[in-house]
Amino acid sequence: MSIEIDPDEPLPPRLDLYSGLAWTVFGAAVLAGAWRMDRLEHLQINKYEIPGLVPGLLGAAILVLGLVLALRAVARGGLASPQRSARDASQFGARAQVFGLTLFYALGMVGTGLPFWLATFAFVSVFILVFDRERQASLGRDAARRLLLALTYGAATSAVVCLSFEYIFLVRLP
Amino acid sequence: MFQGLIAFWHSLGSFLTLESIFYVLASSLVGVVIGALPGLTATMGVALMTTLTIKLPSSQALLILICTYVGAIYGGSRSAILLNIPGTPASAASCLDGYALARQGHAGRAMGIATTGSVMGTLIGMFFLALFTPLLGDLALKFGAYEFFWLAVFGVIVSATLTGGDPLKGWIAGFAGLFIATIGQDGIHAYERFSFGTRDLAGGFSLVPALVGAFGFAEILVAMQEKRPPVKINPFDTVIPKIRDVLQYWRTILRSGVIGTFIGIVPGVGEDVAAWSSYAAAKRASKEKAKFGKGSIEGLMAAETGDNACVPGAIIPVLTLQVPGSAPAAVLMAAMLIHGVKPGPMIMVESPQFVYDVVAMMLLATIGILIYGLTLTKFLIMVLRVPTTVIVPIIFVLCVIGTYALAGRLFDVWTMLLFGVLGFVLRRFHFPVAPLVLGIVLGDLLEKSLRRGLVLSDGDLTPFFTRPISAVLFGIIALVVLLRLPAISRLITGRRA
Repeated sequence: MSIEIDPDEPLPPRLDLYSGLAWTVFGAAVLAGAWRMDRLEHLQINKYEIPGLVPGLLGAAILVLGLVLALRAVARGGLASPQRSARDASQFGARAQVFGLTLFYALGMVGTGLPFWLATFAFVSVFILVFDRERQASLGRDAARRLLLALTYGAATSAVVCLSFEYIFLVRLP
Repeated sequence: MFQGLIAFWHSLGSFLTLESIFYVLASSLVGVVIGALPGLTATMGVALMTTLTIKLPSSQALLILICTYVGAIYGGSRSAILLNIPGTPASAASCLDGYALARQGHAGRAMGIATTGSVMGTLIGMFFLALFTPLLGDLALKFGAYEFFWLAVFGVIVSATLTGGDPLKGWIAGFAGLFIATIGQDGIHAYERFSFGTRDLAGGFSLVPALVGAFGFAEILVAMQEKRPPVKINPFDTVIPKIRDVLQYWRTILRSGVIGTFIGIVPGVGEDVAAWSSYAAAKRASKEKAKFGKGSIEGLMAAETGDNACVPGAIIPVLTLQVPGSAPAAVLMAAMLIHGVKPGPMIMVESPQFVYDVVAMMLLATIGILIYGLTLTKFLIMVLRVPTTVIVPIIFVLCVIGTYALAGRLFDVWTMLLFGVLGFVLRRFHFPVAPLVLGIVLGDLLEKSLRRGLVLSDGDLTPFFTRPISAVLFGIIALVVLLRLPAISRLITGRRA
């Protein structure tokens, strides 16, 4: 599996403190949920077969490990106020746009009555128009050409995906 | 031995049809392209292809998935050599010497070395796959509930420890994955847990949408925030590998192949660790240590042989223990289950031919990457020039329609989105996603084994620690955890100093 941690980008201990506390709360919630779970005594099952046993143990393990993470973060200076990097702030806007657009397509357009081909055409075109703008501009392409390119990509993707899924993979499109 | 060979020839023969050859060529190409494109990984490729091949017969679908897997791991070397950007995490080690060679004007030779290493690595791994699967299958028959419980814990703990970064965060992610697997009806009494009255959640989260989300959608979000520099390709010479390079470094090839295969067998570790370990071992044993990192043929050969040998290695525990050796192998395992193939300890009893089918698929995938390795250079350079901003929306559309195609329900799309966001947030907080995914895969095995074990022993924990295989697995887990405790590691480092 991948080594996903970027060693060049150390995480401030404050963020570890937040995540440690979040995991502690999550673990406690799982433990509480497992504890309150029906033990199926009316079925006279073996006490080691109760449905809440394993989730309860896992909740306890997450709670303890989350607490260790939080305490370790405190020991590493997690209570000091973190320095927010300029890179973080500039990335937030772009990230929010990607999130917004992808979630709007998957939740707001697909399966809501809008034909799938139209939703896909609109999503791909708008995505390319918005996020490929900078690159296209650096190549000296004007707005009309950028729009035409985005619409072409959108139409091609929509046609290929819809036709192949419907007629080759025999999927009824949402 | 001869029975195995006959079974292998029989399997190979069954795939020598026009349809299968077309699938091999097409899916190897898809794999190589996915692997070559930075930001798209082998796991994402195999997960997406699982959704696309759902209607095919099982043997053809698995052939496509294995070719995609092998192709993607190989394809990553192209962008590593040409752009100094690993196409997949497995190719990170190849950047060091591959790109250095490219800058010296030997990009073609480097690509030839990568092709040779990948082909040899897959062949060595394939040999061990054919050799060890029956042996490990026999051993797996001795596994009971106690052993399977420790095996599941072992997978999560080792994966969390070896996938880099902070093991504490890896363990948390692993346990969270195990918990996610308990959502929905429990496997013994069908009691609904944590479903909050939702009908869709009562069935739990499906594995493939979760994987497509964690490795597809999340990777898209990460790829979109990383600015890729404009593609500048160094001039390259011929990509035809030289026999001299193979003969000169046969020891490195063999060593890296063995290391890669064995790292593949360890649950949840995977190709990148295999590549780095093979690279480190080659450097230690080399007479030309100073060349490593500056354009060493031996270093590149070791990394490429190691990561590709890991692919068949990672499939060995899938077939014998139903425990994946890597993230793409986890998807492959899920695909096997979807297609009605039941891997696990009984495989050599119930369907031994299937093991040799997988070996034959592996050989065909190797031929696929060899063909493309020698012919596709210009096409891949063209693909590498396609900007991320154009690829990302297309991949996202495939993530959405692919997960929907699995069962025709929107809940799977929502699952994909949920795990994508979860995977992205975890990455931002430096939590590895691999142990989370392995936890989801192994959760059912862990729960059933623990509850069965406790029922059998009437709550007595002794058999979990005293049965020979259980004791060994527990010992390794304890050792791995203890060695990561700061106090213990300080004690060891202090003594060494």
